Amino acid sequence: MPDLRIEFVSASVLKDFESAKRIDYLLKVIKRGSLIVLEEKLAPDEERLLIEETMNLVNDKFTGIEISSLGAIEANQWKERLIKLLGGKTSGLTVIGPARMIKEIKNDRSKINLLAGFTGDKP
Amino acid sequence: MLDWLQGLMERFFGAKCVSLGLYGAPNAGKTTLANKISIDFVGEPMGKVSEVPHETRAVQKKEKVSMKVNGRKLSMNLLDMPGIATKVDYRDFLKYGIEKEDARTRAKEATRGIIEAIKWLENVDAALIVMDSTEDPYTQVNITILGNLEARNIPVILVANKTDLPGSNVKRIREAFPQYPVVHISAKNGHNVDELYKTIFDRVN
Repeated sequence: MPDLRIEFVSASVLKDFESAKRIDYLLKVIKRGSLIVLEEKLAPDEERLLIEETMNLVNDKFTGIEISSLGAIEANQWKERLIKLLGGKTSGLTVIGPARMIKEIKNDRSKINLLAGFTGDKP
Repeated sequence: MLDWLQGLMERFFGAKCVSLGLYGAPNAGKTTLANKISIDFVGEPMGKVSEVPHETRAVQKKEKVSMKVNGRKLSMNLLDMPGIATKVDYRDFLKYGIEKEDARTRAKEATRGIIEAIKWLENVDAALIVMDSTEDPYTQVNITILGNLEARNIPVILVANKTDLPGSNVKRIREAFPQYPVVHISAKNGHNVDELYKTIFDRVN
């Protein structure tokens, strides 16, 4: 059975990046076949951008991502950005991985349950 | 008095036309609902319904639909969006008897449709988030759609669809998203759609 690599990423790693660069970083890790556990919830427009960029990359081998996050829906994106700009952290957690590696992902708002394994070609 | 004033304004300046987007995951019943609305107010359906996911792969528009409920009027552009997903695998379409090359083409079109639907999030005036009430509603797709609409202060109604099916659980949707109005319907047989139309007037107009 192929190895499973998980990258635990501190929020501080991405705090100086703009949204597009943050998404680029995450997708690069996922395309390498790793799971990411990010120490924050992405902003709604970042989640949107992540789906958009993922769709641009979909092909026979890379079929997309599975993503799940903990933390309330933050409507005030400016507040969230300001917190990050001032070096603070927004609460939450995000788990992302290649779709072909994640067999099941469930979120009950207080915990994420993930079952991973290779379902076909290694991504 | 306000209704009278609104009627007067509409007579002189024309009714405001609202862009109403139907969002949700693939196979939630968006096109079935769009067809029901379109048949009720225009007399013709909008798009093809299929059990194969991603049947709607480009935004379907029905412009200037005049919705009339209890003497009130609402002019709207109805937008049936492609289902939003985080993954598209052409192999999933093979199970439905679609040939490999056609499945690949369908997957490519589906990814473009998802991008188009996402871009439209900035341009709708109101949204119906259609959810299959037999499925777990607390998915990242629903969370992302709602988060983006809420960030733009766009009015949202959650539509708990497929209440005609065994296993339908509307309470689960209310509990997952308690801050939004939820209307339970069966778009397939038209159950409770009148309540949805009233809610659209209350939230949008």
